[in-house]
Amino acid sequence: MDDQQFLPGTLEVLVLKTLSWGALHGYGIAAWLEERTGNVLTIEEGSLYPALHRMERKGWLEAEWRITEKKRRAKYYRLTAAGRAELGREEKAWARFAVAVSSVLEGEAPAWAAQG
Amino acid sequence: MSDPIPVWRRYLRFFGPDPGADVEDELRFHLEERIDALVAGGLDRETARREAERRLGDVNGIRRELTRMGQKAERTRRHRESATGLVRDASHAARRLAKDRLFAATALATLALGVGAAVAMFTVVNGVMLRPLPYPAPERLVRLSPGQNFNMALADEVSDVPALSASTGISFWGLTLMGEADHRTEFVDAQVVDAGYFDVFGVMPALGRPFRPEERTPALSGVVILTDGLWRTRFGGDPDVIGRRIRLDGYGHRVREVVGVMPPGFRPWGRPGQESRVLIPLNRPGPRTVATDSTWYVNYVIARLAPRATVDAAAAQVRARTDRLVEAYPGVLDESTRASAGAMGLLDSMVGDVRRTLLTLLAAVGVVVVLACANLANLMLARGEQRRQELAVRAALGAGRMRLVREQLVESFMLAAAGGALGLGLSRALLGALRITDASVLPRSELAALDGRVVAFAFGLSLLAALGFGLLPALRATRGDVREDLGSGQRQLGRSRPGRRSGFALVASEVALATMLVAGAALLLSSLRALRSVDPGLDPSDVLAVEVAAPPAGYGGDRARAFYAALIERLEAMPGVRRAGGIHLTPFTESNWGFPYLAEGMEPPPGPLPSANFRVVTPGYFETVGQPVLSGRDIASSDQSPDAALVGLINRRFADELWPGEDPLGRTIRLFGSTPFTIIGVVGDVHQHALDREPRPEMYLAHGGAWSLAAMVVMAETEGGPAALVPAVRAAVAELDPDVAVVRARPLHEVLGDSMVQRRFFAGVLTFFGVLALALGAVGVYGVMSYTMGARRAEYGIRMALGARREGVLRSALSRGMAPVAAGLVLGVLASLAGGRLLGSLLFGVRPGDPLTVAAAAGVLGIVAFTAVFIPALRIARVDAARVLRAR
Repeated sequence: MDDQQFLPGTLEVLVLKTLSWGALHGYGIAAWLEERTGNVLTIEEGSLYPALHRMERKGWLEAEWRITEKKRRAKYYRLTAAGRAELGREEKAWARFAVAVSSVLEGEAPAWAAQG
Repeated sequence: MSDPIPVWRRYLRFFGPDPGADVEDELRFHLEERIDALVAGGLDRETARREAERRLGDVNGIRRELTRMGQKAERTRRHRESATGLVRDASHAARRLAKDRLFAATALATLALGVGAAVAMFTVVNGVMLRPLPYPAPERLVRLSPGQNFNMALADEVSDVPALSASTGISFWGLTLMGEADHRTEFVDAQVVDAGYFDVFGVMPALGRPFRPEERTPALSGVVILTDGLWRTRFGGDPDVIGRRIRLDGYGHRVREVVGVMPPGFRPWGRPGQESRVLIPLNRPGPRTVATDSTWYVNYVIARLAPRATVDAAAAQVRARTDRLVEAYPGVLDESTRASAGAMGLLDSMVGDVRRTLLTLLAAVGVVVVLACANLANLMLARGEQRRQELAVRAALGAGRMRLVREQLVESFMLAAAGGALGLGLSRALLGALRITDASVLPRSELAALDGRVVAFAFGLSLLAALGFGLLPALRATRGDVREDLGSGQRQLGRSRPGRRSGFALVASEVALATMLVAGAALLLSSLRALRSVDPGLDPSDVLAVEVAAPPAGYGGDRARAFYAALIERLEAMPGVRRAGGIHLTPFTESNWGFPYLAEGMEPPPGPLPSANFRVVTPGYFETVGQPVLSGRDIASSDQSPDAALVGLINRRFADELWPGEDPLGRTIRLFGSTPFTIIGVVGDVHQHALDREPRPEMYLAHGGAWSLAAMVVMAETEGGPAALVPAVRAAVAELDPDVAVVRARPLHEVLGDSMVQRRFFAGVLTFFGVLALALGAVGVYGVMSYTMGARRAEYGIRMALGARREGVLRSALSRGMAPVAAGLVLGVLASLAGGRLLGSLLFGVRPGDPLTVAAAAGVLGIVAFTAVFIPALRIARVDAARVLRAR
């Protein structure tokens, strides 16, 4: 379980994406992300909750208390319209970023490389 | 983190979101889930717990951060919600009011009337009692007394005490300012004052200098200070006026040197309706004592308190000084001087007479406002009952009670604000209708104008009213059992019990309050009627009173007599004039000369001589004004010559007092105990000052000789329409001598009317309030009755279906409606009997608790209230039983 350093803003977009499938509580988000990334991306739990609350204040998420199947009171987060729009923007940005990074990582060797 | 959540924490949320508890719960949930997962993965519970906590990291730090964020969010949310909530409530209320126009109009009219009447009254109180006098530190000004008139030596003595830093005697006097170039000869009111005047009032001349103490000496007293107004109108605002000698006749000098001009905005202190335009110095020949000072009396002594001295201290010192003077001058000063000695605040001394009346009227208008609020509260209650269903639904949907109450209060406040603004406008109209500012009805009434305090009063009153009529109905309409109405979904048979009780109390108190006001108004109206039925002692109809001021200096010796004889002759020759005659003071005014006398056969008393009213008249005066000569004869022109024997007439009261049952003709009276005159006739008594004051003993001497006065009031009996003659009379005076000014000319019945203007004002105001109270009371009774009857339709319908007869139903409805009215009438009558005394000196010819007047008021109230009860009762008795039952 090596801790991987997140790029800033990554956690937020991951949370938004997770919640785009449906309402979920904080633990659920953490567990799903861990499972989904094969435990590669360990969620820094200490920053998850502040991020959730921040996003709630920004109006991207709204929260609601519900009772879980284990009869526990849990705070469920749900994407708002604003959150959905934000997710769209972030996804595009990520795609561009990913293309840019991979075009470097997977591209052909530059001309000057042969001389090295 | 392992302690169980205390149960009470949960209940905290009952009062709204609790960010701290939410964070706690959220983190706890996270840990519990994580531990479960780890245990499921094979760890033992304790290890799982430690691992879960490790992964979460700095729990306390997170908790703090989240809680802080949560509280901030909660605060902004709350602010936003309450602000948008108020706007929403207001627009909601506006929509509701627009839909219910009849309700809105009724409520606004009621409020506007109540607030308008109260603001008008408060404007008067504010102007007369609350606005400070227009001088620096006005609360330090005091008026000294023994009695109203002092001789100058006495004035000097009593004001020379340590508690006073400056003082001045003040006499009111009339002077003739001679015409020149393009200015007519005119009469100017003057204030005769001491050098201390300027320190007392804290005002110095803007141009020139104040008076000097040595200008009390007759030889040096020929100076004058102009007010800004006279300086501008008569002297064109010319600064070179200082040092100019102007022809200003009267008070000893014919010509005076202008030494100063007062600043603009300075209003000389004075009597209502009389504005002095010049200041001249008091003067007195040589040193005199209280006993030997025969100078003209000063009317008032005004002083300024020394630093840190109080009015009480000044009063005590003045009393102590007067005590010593009474002992030092026995036979000159008497016990009445001692009894009346003192000092009081200048403003108090001006408004003391009317203060109680004004406060009584303010209380009366308070009753009107209470009635208006009671009606509105009732209206709101009825509306609230209608809206219970709606409110119940909203409460069920989660609207909190506070919200519902707030919403209704917002509506009340909107109504109150609009009603208050309307009322403010209405109060302007009321004050205009009462002509309060120009009639010089009350001292300082010209100050009754809109100012910040009046506006603040209007809005404060409106807000208070909104709470008064809005809060109870709002609480009632949203009472805990609102939800029951939701289930019942149908009307109850009658109003709920508390509703009935408050309806009874409302009607009873409205009727009681209205009875009191109507009874008060009735008492004042009977007083006016009693006053009008008093025989004034002369017949003022068709008589024109012309106040003429000949310049005294130019009219010495026999010239004044000759002038007036000529003027009277000219007037009698005028078409439309039957006859004319003169007296030196206008009847029905405060002006008076009272002289000490010693009558024939009377032992000189040990103290001061008694005094009687003194008047100078010309031949024909009595006939002109219709004052009967009961025995003997009128003055003849032969009595007017300088060497004729001094003769005079006395009134019947004086004759009866001096020689009861004996013939007074031919007997003598010594004026001042020295100058004898022979009684040639007896005339009827006249209410010389006002109809509500008893006639006093009076002496009338012939105009001429030693009593050849320069200022006289010439009466002309006309053939109708005395006012139309004014221009001709003025022309006649100017033709005789352009240096003689007509002070004013007006019909004598107007003078008589003016003497009652204050009573008329108070009676008019209270009658207006009484009518308002009557109308509001009737509307209130009608409203409650209609509502109760409406709510009982079903009950009566069933009764009639079961065979009750219409008459029985009507009787039952009437008795139910009249029970609170009767209770209110009884209360109101008792209160009126006890409270009539508040009207005190305003009553004339009627006792404060006059049973007939109070009974009449109760009768009027009873009839009006019966009508208000009868209409809804009749409506219920005409109900079609079958229809009511089907509707159920």
